[in-house]
Amino acid sequence: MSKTTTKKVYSDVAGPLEQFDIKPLYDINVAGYDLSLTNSSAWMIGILLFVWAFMFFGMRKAELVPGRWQSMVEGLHEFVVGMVDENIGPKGRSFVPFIFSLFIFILVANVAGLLPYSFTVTSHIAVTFAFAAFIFVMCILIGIFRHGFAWFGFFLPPGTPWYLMPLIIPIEIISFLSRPITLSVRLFANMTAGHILLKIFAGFVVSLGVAGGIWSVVGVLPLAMNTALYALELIVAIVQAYVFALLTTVYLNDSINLEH
Amino acid sequence: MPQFDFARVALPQIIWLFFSFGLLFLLMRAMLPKVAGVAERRASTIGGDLDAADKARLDAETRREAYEAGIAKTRTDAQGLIESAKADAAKANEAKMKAADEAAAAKIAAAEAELSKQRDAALVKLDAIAVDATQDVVERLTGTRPAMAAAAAAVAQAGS
Repeated sequence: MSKTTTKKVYSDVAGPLEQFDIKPLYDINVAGYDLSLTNSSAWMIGILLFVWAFMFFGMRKAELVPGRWQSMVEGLHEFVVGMVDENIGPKGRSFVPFIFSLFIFILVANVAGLLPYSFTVTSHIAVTFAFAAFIFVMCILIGIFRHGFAWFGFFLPPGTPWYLMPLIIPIEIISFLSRPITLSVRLFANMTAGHILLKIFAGFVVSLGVAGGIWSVVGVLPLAMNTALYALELIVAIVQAYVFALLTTVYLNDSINLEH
Repeated sequence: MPQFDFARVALPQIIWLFFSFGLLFLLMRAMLPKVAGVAERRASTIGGDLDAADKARLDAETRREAYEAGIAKTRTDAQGLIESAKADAAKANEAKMKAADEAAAAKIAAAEAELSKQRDAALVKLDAIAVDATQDVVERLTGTRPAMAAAAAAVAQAGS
């Protein structure tokens, strides 16, 4: 009897990878392409609505002496402006809305992913790579648009001896081309690994609890571990959003100010 | 891993990502100027208030200086008044003293003159008494009263 219940409960526990599954909620097909509304897109829309509400209700009164909510909105804005000013300089002011949107979207996506039963948008390499590729292409276009052919001088650091050119230029090109990959994989891997770890330890808690007897007591250990991991994941969620936005400003700086 | 099942998961996510993120970007671009505007307005208000406070402080400073200058001027004026009053009083005193001295000197001189006059008178009378006494003494001794002129001559002789 007890053996069958154990087996049943254990089979009910979601596998650690199941949380990343894309489940279509509403099928949309346009010219043979699958554009379905999925759990992922639902969360994206949710993030959009949340950020809009956060901004709208925070700034509705826009008082001279801000309340708590308004202070949060202003603090976030000030933070992003500071980041842009520090990394790009005065020419970067026009990119503040983009960096702000990027930061707040990824931040909310990462943190929302830690809610129980939620889906983490940023745990999909398709999403993070779409961001990274967009930023990559944007950087190239801005560089060429602002500096013309001179922008390709970016691949040759000033002061390079002529005999090192055959070595330095390929290295610079490879490091430049690897930017979208590192940018997207960093966020995707952090989110995915953390969530898998949380799920695995949660699975230990359930299976040890169901095992009964002394094992139920031992189950406290993975529970404590999961609590600590959760706090760590919260930090990782915030830090990764920051890193993503920060690296975007650094890359934009290379295109805008063209210095090595 | 469902993430690497690109054929199934990539397209719907990327399409919806561009839709939702694009909308978010447009919303933020519309909303952020308000946030920046509030910060700017706050900065200018605080700056204006600080300026006004600074101006008020400077104003108070100049007023204080004017007040202190007024006080100092009044003090010097009062000092001058006191000095002149003192000088006036001293002068008046001196004049009074002089007058009193003169009056006293005049009185002393008058008294001395009177005294010497009276002494002279007294001396004259003394001669008369001496003559009289001489006459009496001579009358007692001789039984005859000498003539007044003789007695007076004798007194004058004895006195000189």
